[in-house]
Amino acid sequence: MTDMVLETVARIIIPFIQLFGAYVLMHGHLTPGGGFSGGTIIGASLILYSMVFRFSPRKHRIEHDTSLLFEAGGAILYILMGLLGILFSKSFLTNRGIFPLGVPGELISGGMIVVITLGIGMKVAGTVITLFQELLEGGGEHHGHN
Amino acid sequence: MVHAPVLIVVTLLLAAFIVPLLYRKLPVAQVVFLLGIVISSIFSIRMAFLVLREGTLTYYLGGWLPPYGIEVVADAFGAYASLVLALISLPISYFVVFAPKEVNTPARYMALILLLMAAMQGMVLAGDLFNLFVFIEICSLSAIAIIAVKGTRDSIEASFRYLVLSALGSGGILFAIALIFMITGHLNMGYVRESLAVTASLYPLNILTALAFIFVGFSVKAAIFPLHVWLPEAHSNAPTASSALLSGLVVKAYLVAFIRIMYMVIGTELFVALPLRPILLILAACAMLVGSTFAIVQNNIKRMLAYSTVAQMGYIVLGLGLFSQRALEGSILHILNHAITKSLLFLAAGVIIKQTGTNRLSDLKGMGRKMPFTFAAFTVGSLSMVGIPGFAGFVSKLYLALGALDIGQIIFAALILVSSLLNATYYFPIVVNAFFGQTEATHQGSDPRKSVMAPLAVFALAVVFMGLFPSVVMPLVRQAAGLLQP
Amino acid sequence: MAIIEKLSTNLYYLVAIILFIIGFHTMLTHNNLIKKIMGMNIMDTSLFLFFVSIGYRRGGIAPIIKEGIVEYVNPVPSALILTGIVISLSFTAFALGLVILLYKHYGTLDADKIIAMRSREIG
Repeated sequence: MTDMVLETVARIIIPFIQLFGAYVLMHGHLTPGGGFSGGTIIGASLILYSMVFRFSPRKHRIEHDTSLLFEAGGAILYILMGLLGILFSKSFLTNRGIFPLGVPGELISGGMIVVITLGIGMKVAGTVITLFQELLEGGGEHHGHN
Repeated sequence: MVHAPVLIVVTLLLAAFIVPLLYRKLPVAQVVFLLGIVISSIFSIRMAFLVLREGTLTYYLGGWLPPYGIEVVADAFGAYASLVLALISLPISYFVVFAPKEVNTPARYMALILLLMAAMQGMVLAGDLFNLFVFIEICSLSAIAIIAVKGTRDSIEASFRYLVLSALGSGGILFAIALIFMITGHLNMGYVRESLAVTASLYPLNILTALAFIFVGFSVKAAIFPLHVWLPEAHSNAPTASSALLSGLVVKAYLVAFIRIMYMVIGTELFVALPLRPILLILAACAMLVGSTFAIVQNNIKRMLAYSTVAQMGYIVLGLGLFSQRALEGSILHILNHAITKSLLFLAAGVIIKQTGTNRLSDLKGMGRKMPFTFAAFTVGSLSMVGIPGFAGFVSKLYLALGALDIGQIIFAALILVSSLLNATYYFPIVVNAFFGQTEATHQGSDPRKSVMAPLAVFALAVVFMGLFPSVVMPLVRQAAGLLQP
Repeated sequence: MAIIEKLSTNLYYLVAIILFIIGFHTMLTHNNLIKKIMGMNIMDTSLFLFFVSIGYRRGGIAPIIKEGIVEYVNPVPSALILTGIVISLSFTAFALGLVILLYKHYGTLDADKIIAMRSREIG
């Protein structure tokens, strides 16, 4: 079953949702928002994508492996950033003295916070879409639980 | 700065996120899984030695000092609990890798176990209330998941029931944390305690409500007597390794967290002043009697072991209620001894069920002659459970009984004796029937291959070792018990 | 009047407690598994409201320093509750997954019927 109105609207709207998600994600250290909020917005756009195009003959679908990679990759990125602190013989998750802190209020500032937020965003977006698809496929019977 | 306290958790977490990525290459995933557990255990053992030598270790995440930063506190009690978790998890994870598969998604199962271990380690080391809460939630979720991962109807139903009750418990704990934050304005345990010394008398209602919610919340999670209803179903329907982890470690990790809140946040003075101890004593007595009585009438081997866990949690709570030095030592020692013994029994039960194809105790007559090593391991576990001298369970029960006598509570010493007799009435018939009963021709079975038997052998040796040389861990136990004393 | 005044200053707490009781009640007494999950969510939300209202100050804004503004909301509870929401989300998703599997196995969402079916099999 295809619906032209739905597909066209989705095609127009999804990039903007994702752009907004990226904005919230990148400005996590400057404005309210951040990893979880931005990640959820991007995840929501992916849900919309798979809801609209899933039932089309082309079988668009975010592959399981891709979402898994995002999910695990985001968390691993976070942990590695934290471990950098230990590598520089400071404490876990140290920010000051390792990363350039920049000028407060500018986009590239706050040291590793941007990177960590990005990791969280990846993780959340991956998790949201995985949850949606696995629930759709029947409580995770095919892939096990998440 | 010693990084061990935080690295214990981080190693497990890192492994937990790498393992699911490798689900197509299972051998690699298994290596990463074992590496994660082993490395984290090494950190844990190192930390235990450091704490024993130098006293409490603190670690500030990101170099931010409390009350703003997140603090990790490894005192004697936390280090001891972390050591127990690490030592028990090693043979169990070996079993997970080498025993016959019980789940369809082994990579995810291993990731969940790593997540569970990380959450439990975090729970016993966290230095502030909110991180404690987060770890409790991760622990609950992954504990439920390692039951549901078996995929049978019963396991899914049991895990749903566990989930509902667990969510109630979490709600209670979060509410209590909110109430404490409301009057102290801190979440760091040390600062909360300092602030409570002043504010507790100003807002007694808040503190009482918070205590009640903490108590109920942790009672659900640690299966303290009247709120243990989810435990038998959940623990008996889980995969073998999960049962061992859940019964051996998870319920105790919650209890450890509860005890840490009691002495690090509420303060032992307040704990003694409030009528909490009589409540704990009564609940413990009920748990010991009711748990054992229910265990006697079970015919399903794993459900019997699960009810036995309810009774054994009663012992640990009893020591907490008695609150004399030796009773506390017994209680803390029993956390380790019961973890070893129950893990041994659950692994043995899992092997027996797998090899014979039956979980009914009445079908096991004469099986001991067919699978002597498995039943020998089971026998060692039973002897320890009953409290025969020379086995681990005896030592901690002795300390508990002496602790009861120290403060003149003869009735509780008698209760320990009665409960031990009750234990004997359901453990010994299994052993006796297995070795001396008539074999029924319907059930076949033999000892599994050596790699599956290895964890059982390790646990059985550990039971005997702890029975003969309890002094190995006593310095740490004594320090931990000293922390709890006012 | 004193009571009304007290209630109006503690309105958020009062509403949070009422919601908590509603959620708790729904969770324990309803047979429908989906309603149980809804109860769980109401209970969690009530706790979030309670926690956030501890840090709320009338007229305060988000704690990003700007000139000329003196009143800020305490950010700690809000930050914590963000984590709480994530946890609640995962609990809900997991519970829904379990409910789907239960429905596949039993063909019903009624907890009583599931228990009855189980006891019939055992007995």
